Amino acid sequence: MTELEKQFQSPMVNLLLSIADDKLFLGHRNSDWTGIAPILEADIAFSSLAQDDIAHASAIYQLIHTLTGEDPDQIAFGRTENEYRCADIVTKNDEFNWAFAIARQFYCNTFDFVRLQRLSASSWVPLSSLAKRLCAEQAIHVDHVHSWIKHLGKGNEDSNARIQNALDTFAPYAAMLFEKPVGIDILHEAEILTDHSAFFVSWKNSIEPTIDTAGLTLNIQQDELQGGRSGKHDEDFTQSLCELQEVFSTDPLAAW
Amino acid sequence: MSASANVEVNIKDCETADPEKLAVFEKHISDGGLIEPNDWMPEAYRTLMLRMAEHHANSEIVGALPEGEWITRAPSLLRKLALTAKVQDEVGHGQMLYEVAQDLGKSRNAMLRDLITGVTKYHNCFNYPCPTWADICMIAWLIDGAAILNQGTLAHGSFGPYIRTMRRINMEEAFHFKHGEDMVLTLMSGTAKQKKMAQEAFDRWWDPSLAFFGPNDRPDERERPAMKWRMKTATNDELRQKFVNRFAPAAMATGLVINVCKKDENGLVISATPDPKLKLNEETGNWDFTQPDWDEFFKVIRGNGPCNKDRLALRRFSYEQGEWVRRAILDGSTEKPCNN
Repeated sequence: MTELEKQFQSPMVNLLLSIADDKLFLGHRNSDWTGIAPILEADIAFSSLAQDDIAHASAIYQLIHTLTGEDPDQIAFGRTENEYRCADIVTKNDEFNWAFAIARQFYCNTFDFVRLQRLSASSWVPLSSLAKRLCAEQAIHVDHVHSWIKHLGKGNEDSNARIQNALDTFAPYAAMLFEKPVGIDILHEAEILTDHSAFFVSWKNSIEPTIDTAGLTLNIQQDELQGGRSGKHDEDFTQSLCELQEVFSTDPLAAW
Repeated sequence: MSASANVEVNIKDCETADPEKLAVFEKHISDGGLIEPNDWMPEAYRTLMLRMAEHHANSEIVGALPEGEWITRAPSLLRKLALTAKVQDEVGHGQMLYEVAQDLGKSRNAMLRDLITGVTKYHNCFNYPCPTWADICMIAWLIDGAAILNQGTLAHGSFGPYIRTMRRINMEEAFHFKHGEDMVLTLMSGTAKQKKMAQEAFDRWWDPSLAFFGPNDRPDERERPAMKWRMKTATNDELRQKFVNRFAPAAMATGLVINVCKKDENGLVISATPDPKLKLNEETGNWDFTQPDWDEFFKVIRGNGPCNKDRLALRRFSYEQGEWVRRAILDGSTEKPCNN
């Protein structure tokens, strides 16, 4: 199926926004490390991951454009706070603490990989083909960050304690990644999204072996709270959005 | 982004080398030969080359800081991606240049420590403020443009690892310059507000761009070790003139005005008047121009510029906040991540 019937467009846009906004703001947060990461080689790698995420977001905003006709930059930069659909873990302040940045990246990158795999099975071809393409790069992100978790978990006592603390601190926010985008059930019922398996369980199964190898523990529960996916954001998101829009909002119609 | 061949070495040091070996070494250089890390070289050459590579590497990673601060505020998806990639390139240049310097006998960690404790320096142009998005556009256009001119000549130097690195870096700098030029042209063909923003940033960056090449030449410039040993192949004034010849007409073509500016202690312009000397000199074929404010230049180089303290503080913060990570994953005191 290459055409999406009109009644499915709004839930699809909402789903696409949740993916693109996650990626945009994760890339936005991580790009802030460019130039100040703990090791030059890690700096360069982390910046590449940030660029991938922003580029992925851009490709998804482009897909939304094919449905709504809206300009991708206007979608990315021009909405009000409650119109963004990301989970707030992506904008959680890492205080330039590398353990926090890695924990956030670990949860989010693995989540994105599992999510993209599920979307690769969509019956709407523009989505499934884009998801397949992004999945290939996402797999590199997953490899990279899982290797960091192992390095820090097994590094020394201090690094093990720091990364464990970071994983525990970010766990409640990671659980919020699973908040359902409004209207996603409609897409499942219509078999536009065809993978109905348990998302949280797949994700947990993907991260647990690395956690075990690293000598760490995973303390996370699924919950049913409403947050970013419903447009209810916290202060860290507000701050990130202000920064994102600082120059753009001086003249939203100007070319930059 | 920036190379400086203006680090100094005491000429007397050159005289302590074995005269026969020195003669062979100098002939090899004057015949156009390259020096490799394991070749014999006078200690003064090693010292000067190490300082050059280290200063250049320091400049790359400190240069990443002012631009890095604008990544999260870049106003479109394309600009955000391009700026992140550009700053990442600068860090990559730093990484390559620290490798070159390491081969001359100083560890990366020692170089990073010396940078944050103020023992070594970085390029002066990064001690100026970037209060608007347009400053980022001007840095990429003017400073990267200046770096390309400078590094283009350094790529004909005599130390093999440095010139090979320089060639690689220059290819990336060419992209940075294009990225800068595109941003400046976009602003200058935009709204009145954008044009004003661009002119104000240009006023802040014209002087540091002229000063980028270092102080005026000394009478014995060509006899000094850096040029005698072909580490440097053009003088500061030659490069500065080349820069003005290229950028003065290019700036005017976009509608920018080249001003002589007075700045306050924060590096912000308090008065700007069109450069009275600016004109194409038909006799020489060069553009005449007003020299940058050298008093200000030396004040900034001595550590009293508008942003010296901020830049160093952020670099120090980065070094300190990453210490536990390096302890955990680097194998003892080695410089590279271990593989297991």
